[in-house]
Amino acid sequence: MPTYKSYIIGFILCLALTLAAYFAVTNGFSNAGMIIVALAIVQLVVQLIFFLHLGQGKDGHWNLTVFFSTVSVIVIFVIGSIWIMNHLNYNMMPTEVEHSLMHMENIYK
Amino acid sequence: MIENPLEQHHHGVNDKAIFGFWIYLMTDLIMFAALFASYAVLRDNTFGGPGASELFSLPGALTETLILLTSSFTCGLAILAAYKNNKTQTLIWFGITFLLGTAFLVLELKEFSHLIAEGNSFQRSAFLSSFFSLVGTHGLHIAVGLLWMLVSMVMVWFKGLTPFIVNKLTRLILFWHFLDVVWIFIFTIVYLHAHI
Repeated sequence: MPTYKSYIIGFILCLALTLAAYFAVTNGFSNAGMIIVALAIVQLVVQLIFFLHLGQGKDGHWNLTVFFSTVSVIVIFVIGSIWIMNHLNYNMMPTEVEHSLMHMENIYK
Repeated sequence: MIENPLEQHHHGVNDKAIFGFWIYLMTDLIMFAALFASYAVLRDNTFGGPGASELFSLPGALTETLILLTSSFTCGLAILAAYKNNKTQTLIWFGITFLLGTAFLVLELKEFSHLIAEGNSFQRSAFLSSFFSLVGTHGLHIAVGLLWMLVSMVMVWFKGLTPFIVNKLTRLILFWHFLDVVWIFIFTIVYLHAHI
């Protein structure tokens, strides 16, 4: 069940995580891409626990079950889409781009 | 621990209503994931037009993020006040949440109208189509949430905090928290990622 304490802890953590992600980008960290995605996932977990109170209470495990099955569907089709479409982009380029790429990567037909 | 007046109904219809609403939110999440996937795939297809790093301002996006995060926090305080059967506090916190949500929506619409005025509408490129679909769908959810909040506040004002209304409010704050969770990823993948 929600309490003041859980909301205040959640709010402070989310503020810190948001600002950390922001400054990682503005300060131009070399691996900022990885850092911000990791921080977003941490903030997702923080909000699920402290704001949405997922899985807490008497029948919370049902909500948690639905959540995890949804996440597995999402992971499969988001990663799958990006993977397939990047390969399509690479393999179906205009001829000029293809030739310059073959030259760059030392591929000869 | 705060006493929840709904506790006595915990195994009744109310509990199922919240579970059913949670399933709706999860299907909504799948729809957002599809929009995120199309954005990730089409991000570089600018058709000779401006890319993400030229169009999106980081301080503006941070302001929107902080406003929405604060509104998520204040709607949590509103539901705690409702559980304590404190009508005035519930209305005040929902009022603050409503104002913050409106401020967020105004900032977002300003950004949209600015982009469209400069000729960078959703018709400009595949990248901008996917951007407007993703962020616009989230903005539409926020607008619907604000309308729902307004109606709920009127109900609380006239009918008080009956168990039926408190149950409705519980679903409303689930919806609002959910929109903030989706926004974290828009902030990260659309706005922050544009400036790496």
